Amino acid sequence: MLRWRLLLLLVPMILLAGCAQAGGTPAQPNTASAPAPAATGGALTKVTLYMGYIPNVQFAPFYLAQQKGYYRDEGIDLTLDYGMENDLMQLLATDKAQFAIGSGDQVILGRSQGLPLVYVMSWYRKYPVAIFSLQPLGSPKDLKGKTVGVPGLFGATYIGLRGLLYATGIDPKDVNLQSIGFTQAESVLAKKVDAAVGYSTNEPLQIRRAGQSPSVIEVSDYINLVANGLVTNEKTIKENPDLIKRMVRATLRGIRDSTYDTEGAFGAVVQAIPETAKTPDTQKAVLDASTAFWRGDSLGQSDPKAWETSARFMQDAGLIQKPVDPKTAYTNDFVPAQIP
Amino acid sequence: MLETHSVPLGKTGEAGARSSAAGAAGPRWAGWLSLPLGLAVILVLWTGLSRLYPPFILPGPDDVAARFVQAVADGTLLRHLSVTLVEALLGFAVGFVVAVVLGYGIAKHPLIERVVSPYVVASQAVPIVALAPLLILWFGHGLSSKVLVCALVVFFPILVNTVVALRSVDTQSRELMRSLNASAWQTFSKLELPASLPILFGGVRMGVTLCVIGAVVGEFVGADTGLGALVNLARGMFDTALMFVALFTLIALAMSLYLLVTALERVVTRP
Repeated sequence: MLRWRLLLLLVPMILLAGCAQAGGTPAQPNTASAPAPAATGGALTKVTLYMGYIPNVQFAPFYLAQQKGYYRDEGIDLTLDYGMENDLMQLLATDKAQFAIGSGDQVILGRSQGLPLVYVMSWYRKYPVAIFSLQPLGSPKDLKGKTVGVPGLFGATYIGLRGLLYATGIDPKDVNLQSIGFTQAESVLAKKVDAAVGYSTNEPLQIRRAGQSPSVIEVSDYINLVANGLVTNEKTIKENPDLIKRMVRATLRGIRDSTYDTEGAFGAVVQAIPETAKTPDTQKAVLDASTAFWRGDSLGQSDPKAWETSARFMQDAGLIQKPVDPKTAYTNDFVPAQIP
Repeated sequence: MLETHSVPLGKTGEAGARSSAAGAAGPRWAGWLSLPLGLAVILVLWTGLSRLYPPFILPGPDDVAARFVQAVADGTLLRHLSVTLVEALLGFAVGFVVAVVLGYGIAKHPLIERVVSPYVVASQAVPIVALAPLLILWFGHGLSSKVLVCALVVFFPILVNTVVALRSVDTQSRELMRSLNASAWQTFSKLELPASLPILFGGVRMGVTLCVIGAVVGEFVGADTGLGALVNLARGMFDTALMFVALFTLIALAMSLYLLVTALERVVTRP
């Protein structure tokens, strides 16, 4: 009987603990190494920036900025790490990470589920997702009744396709979606699917290198979605706004230099990922195609219209359950008027 | 009485006998209360714990229940559940037939055992999660690759139990059949089959829960529908409550299949 009494004691204790927490803000681990504000010539702040992919030529601006010492100039000792975009957003939300590269749709999805994510700097100025096929594609309407391969029902490729269908008024049910993993170019070449969705700067190039000429529909020609940028969490904004400012400044210098000097950017890539030296032509083609997505006026600034469009589309398409106010999902406060 | 509220793990006959033996399993009311009480404790602990974290890390039972109702109402859950059920049952059927036929061969002919068994055992050392992407590459993204993954998972326990069951048939009974000049078919249908059923059913019970896992492994690698795909889908949308819904549905599915087999076993092996 003693055991029962102990158990009965335990129950209200747990309930009390629960209630005490429910009122206030959710408990957050205090283990995050709070970086000290900008050291004036002193120790550097250690920062890890997570990329939502494997080491790749498209991360040239970061390799370049790192090697040119732009982060060091801002008092930052930067480490680059890699992972799945989806996991990275959760790391940010639990403050196990402070900075990651993610797309606007991920921030909106996350905020809709209560993840305290904030997008603080725009990198890709257009959504870099395209639908490609060996059959002629005149307009998105031609996708009706076709089998379209996507890596899975998640991530930028899926969101991009849904965005395209939404913008052109096509019912997703009229398109036969098939999850094919990351085998888009192979599946299209082997005619296992009629069309596939991939990165504008990657799969269409692969198909061209295989000697075929694919027809390509760019999602960004039909809908203005928020693409990749620098994402942080609300805690870091509150506690360390200066660090965000410095991260944004250093990163923007890398982006700007990469768009000017593609050769120099490629050199930085080879130094960071020696394997890329084996296929320089392909890598350079991807880099060239990518820089076209980075160029634009007022680098780093988020386009409020793109945020509104993204949030409205995701709500209308049923991708989010609870509406998200796009104004809470991003800020341009950390983007400098002039890049040094 | 106990067995109506709990999932019997041992042989049903034994469990029944034990619980009816007075006092062995505690007073009668304890048997009735054990399941709801255990559930209540888990729910209270879960609720308490969930209050410490935001819902995207640990949703409370209320969040999960609300999400469950929503997923049932809009048809999401049924659509995914039916796909997984079909994959699991077809996979089980394929795995069962192959395992029983091969198991019979192994049990009866030492040569087959010597030739086949090293490969059978070696095949168990290959993690199915690593094999699934290959199977999908070879057999496409459709139903067949998932059925195959299920069949592979189900195959081994049923094979082993078939061999053990056939070998455990009493030698004296075999000699009796021989002395009566029974044909091979008569020996099989009158002696081997009925005598090996209890052990074979042990393998079936294991297989039927494993086949659900097999279906999910297949779906994880590449699928749009099925409970495994739903877990991935929910994960992509940071919808942790929906992940819980999918996981609980998987548990319920595996348990229902298990109880179904137990019921079938009781009917078939009734003396």
